[in-house]
Order: sequence, then C-alpha cells, then structure tokens
Amino acid sequence: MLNKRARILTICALALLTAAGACAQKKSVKFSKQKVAPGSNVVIIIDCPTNIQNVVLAKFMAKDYRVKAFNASDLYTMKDVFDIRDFKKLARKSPLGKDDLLINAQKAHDNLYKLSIYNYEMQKAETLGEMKDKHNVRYLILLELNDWERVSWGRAIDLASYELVWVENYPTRYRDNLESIVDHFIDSLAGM
Amino acid sequence: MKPAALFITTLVLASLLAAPGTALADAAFGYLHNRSGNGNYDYLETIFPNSFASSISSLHDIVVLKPGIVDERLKKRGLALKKSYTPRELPKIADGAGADFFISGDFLPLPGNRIEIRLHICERKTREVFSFVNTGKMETEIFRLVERISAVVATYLRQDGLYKTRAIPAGTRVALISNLSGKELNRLYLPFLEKGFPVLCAQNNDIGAIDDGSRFSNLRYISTRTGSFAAPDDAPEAHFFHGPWNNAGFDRQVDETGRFFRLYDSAYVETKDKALERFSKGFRDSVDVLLIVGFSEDRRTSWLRAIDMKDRNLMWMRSNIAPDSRFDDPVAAIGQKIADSMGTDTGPAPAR
Repeated sequence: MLNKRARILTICALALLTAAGACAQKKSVKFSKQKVAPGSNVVIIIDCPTNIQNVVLAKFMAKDYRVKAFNASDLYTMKDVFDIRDFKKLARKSPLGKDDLLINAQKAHDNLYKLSIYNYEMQKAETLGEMKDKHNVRYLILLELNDWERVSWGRAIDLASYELVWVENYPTRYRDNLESIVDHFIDSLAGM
Repeated sequence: MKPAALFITTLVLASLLAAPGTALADAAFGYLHNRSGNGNYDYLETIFPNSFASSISSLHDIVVLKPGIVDERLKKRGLALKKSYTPRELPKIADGAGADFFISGDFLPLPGNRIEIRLHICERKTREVFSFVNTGKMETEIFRLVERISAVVATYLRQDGLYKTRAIPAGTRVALISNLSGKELNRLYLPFLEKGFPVLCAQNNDIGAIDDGSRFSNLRYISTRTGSFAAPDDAPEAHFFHGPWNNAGFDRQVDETGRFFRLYDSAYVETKDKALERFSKGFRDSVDVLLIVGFSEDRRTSWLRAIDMKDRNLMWMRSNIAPDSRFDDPVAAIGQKIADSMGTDTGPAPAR
C-alpha cells in the first residue's frame, strides 16, 4: 500500500503527464507552401449554422476573395450536384445486403470496405477536378472554428495540383471571437 | 536483500525480459514448391530453403530450422511436411513446427534465365501471413538473390514486420489516408510537408474523417501482386451446389453470389488493382505513393502501409510505430518518425 506522500506524488506525476500530453496536442501548427492571395477563386467549406457561415463568407468577400457559391446558400442548385454532406464525413454504416448472402464472407466484406475507401477518395478527387474545370475554382478551403481553450483549424487545397498548400491549427485565445479567428486565418492564408 | 532493492531488481529484470525485440525470432523453413512442373528444377525445392536458412542463421543471427528438422518435428505430431500449403493451412503447420515463424513458398523459372521466388511467412502467435515476391537471375547471381531474400526475411522477423522495397525521396507526391481528422490530421501532415513531400488532397478535403473506428484496421491487411499481408481465416470455402435439378432463378442467384466472392475475395487483387487505377485517374495521375497510416484509439501506436501507385505494389509495411517519449504529442511524433524514415531503405526504428 502506498503511503500518503507517495500517493500524492503519483497523482501529481500522472496529472503532469496528462497535462503535458494535452498541451502538446494544443500547440499551434502552421505550414504554408503558397499564398492564397485576395482575388483567388475559392470555395469555403465550414460545418456551422448558416448565420455563422455568412459571417465567415462575408469576411472572405470583404478581403476581395472571389467566393464561389458552394456550401453558401440553399438557393443554389449546386447543392444538388455537389452534395456538401459528402465532404463532411464518411458515413458507411449500412449493411452490404442481406446477411444470408454473406455466409463465411467476412473477408469479402472487409475487402469491400477497403475498396469503398479508395472509391470514395477517387470520387471526391473527380468532383474537385470538376469544380476546378467547370466552375473555375482554384482553392478549396476548409475551416473549423472552436471556442476558447480549444483549437480552430484550417486547410487549403490547390485544385490545380491537388496539393495541400496551407494547414494551420490555431489555439483559440480568450479574447478571440468568430470574426477575429476568421481574420487570423485569412491573414495566414494570404501570407500576411 | 531489502524489500525495496529486491523490488527494483525484479522490476529491472522484468522490464528487460518484457522488452519487445530483445528475444531472437525463431523461424522454421518448409519447402519451396516448383511451380513450373519441370522436374529438372525439383532439386531446388530443398536447396532454396536450406540456403535461406543458412544465410539467415549465419548473417542475421536468427535461429532457423531447416526443412529436414521441421519434417521430423511435424511427424512427431502426426503431420508431414508438404511441398506446398494454402495460406489457410499455414497457421496449423506453424503450430506443429514449434517456431515463432513458419516460412514456405514456391518458385518459377522465367525466360531470360531469371527466377521468381515467392515466400509466405506465417507468425505462429498472430496467425498472420506476410507474402512477398522477389525476382532475380539464376546461376551466377543466385547467391545474390538468396542473400537479398534472406535480408528481407530477417528484417521482417526482427523489426516488427518491416518490409520496404525502396527509399521514398523528398518530392514524392503522397496521398495519405488515416483514421485521423481535423486538427490531429494537420499535426500528422506537418512533418511530411516540412520534409518536402507534397501531400495530395486525399482525405484532407473532409471536415470529418473515416469514423468507422476499429474497421479502419482492416486496411492493415493488404493484397498486391508482389506483397501481401493477411490473416487467413478458418472458415471453409463457400460452396453452392446447383445443377439440372435447380430452376434458372436459383442458378442465377448462385452465379451472382459466385461473382460477388470472385470480385471481393478470390480475385480481390485484380478488383483492387482496377480500383487503384481509377483512383490514379481520379487524381489525374498525380499520386506517386498511397500511404495508409492507422492509429490506435489512444494514438500511441500506429501502423503503415504504402503502395507504389506506378505499379500498385506494396512498397512499405510497418507495425508498432510509437513515440519515443510519453511527453510527446503521439500523432506529431509518429508523423515525424514516418516522415524522417521515408528516405531511408528501412523505415523507423522499432518501438522499444
């Protein structure tokens, strides 16, 4: 049985270890391969209510980015062509078919799962290619905005090369608000 | 001895004994089956495994049993060493041979004085089978081929399932698929971007990510023409009996079911090849390497598989990648380890 002092020391050590791990994960991360300058044709994907989306899009537009109508308004029929839900996450919970078809076929089922991942990525790449060719979009920008003590993050993809050109994890500060975070990301994207 | 001192000594001894990789792997060789049907090459069925066993034993300091001894061991258990085995039979033979790994395979002489050698390495504990193909010249260069294959086997046995066919230089365009998302994914990307590997837009064009939890680990098992890693199941093959007594509808159903199994099981390599070809075209042929990195739930261990998109073959495989320190962000540390070892012939050092 550990005595009281040993127990306190152990708890402190564990707390320190947990805190160190948590801090390391909240560190800011930034890499920029090329500037996404004002005037660029961009599509912004952000998973938040429409009123907040408007604030984010307005911020980009105010800085002279040419924001394409994607994930922007229900009035646009583009939603029917490029389903925004497909860019949100993979949802693959539905069964393959009748269970009785899969007698001793766990391996086949697993292989089908793997193929579906390859196919999903391939179809997204094709869609992005169409976005570039048909709608003259140059950059795809993804943002997730989070409150204080959490990390907001963003990524930009150059559709001309399919390359990731900007990534940033931004630990949201106490004095930050929605607009200041978006301003920060826009400045970061533009290389300012 | 004081209790505290005894405790520390026991702890040190236990940790030394428990450290993975310190115990030498112990492998047993079966025969290499002559696939050509030409009896003139049958003598190689025994010579090859004996040569591999000698080379691995002498050059790589691994205890290796030759086919003759393995056959004796199997006979004691009422079994016999066959020329060839299906992957499904390997775990049972590995048990009977009484070694950590059982290795068997086959060879096929090719035109131009070349020979193709395929080995299957079955780990007794996990019952997983790693198979790879290596082609080389016969006669004068046969010893070089034996040494090359022996080195592949020894590396796999001693370094947590490491297999790497070549270095991946900076500038190689990588499509990276993992079970991370959001800010964690950014932390994984950073070391690759900083090392000069263009990261393509697979997965990172999602706000969320593959959220199938443990199902993602299915991607650990991989099948390509020159390398595969699988867990053969014990389930018997599905047979669908039909004939003139059945009506046309039933026959059609059986055909459809058979087609399903062909596509996704017996001919999966071809099916996947086609899927990867479409994948390449989808990315307008910009992907050089498809890198799949799977993380454990607590992110402290990881595995990787890499496919060369030029020929769609397995080019890199590694298990048990872990950060060196508990204080590191595991995602960033593992990403750094992988990115650092892209350009080497071997890959990250095994977790200790």
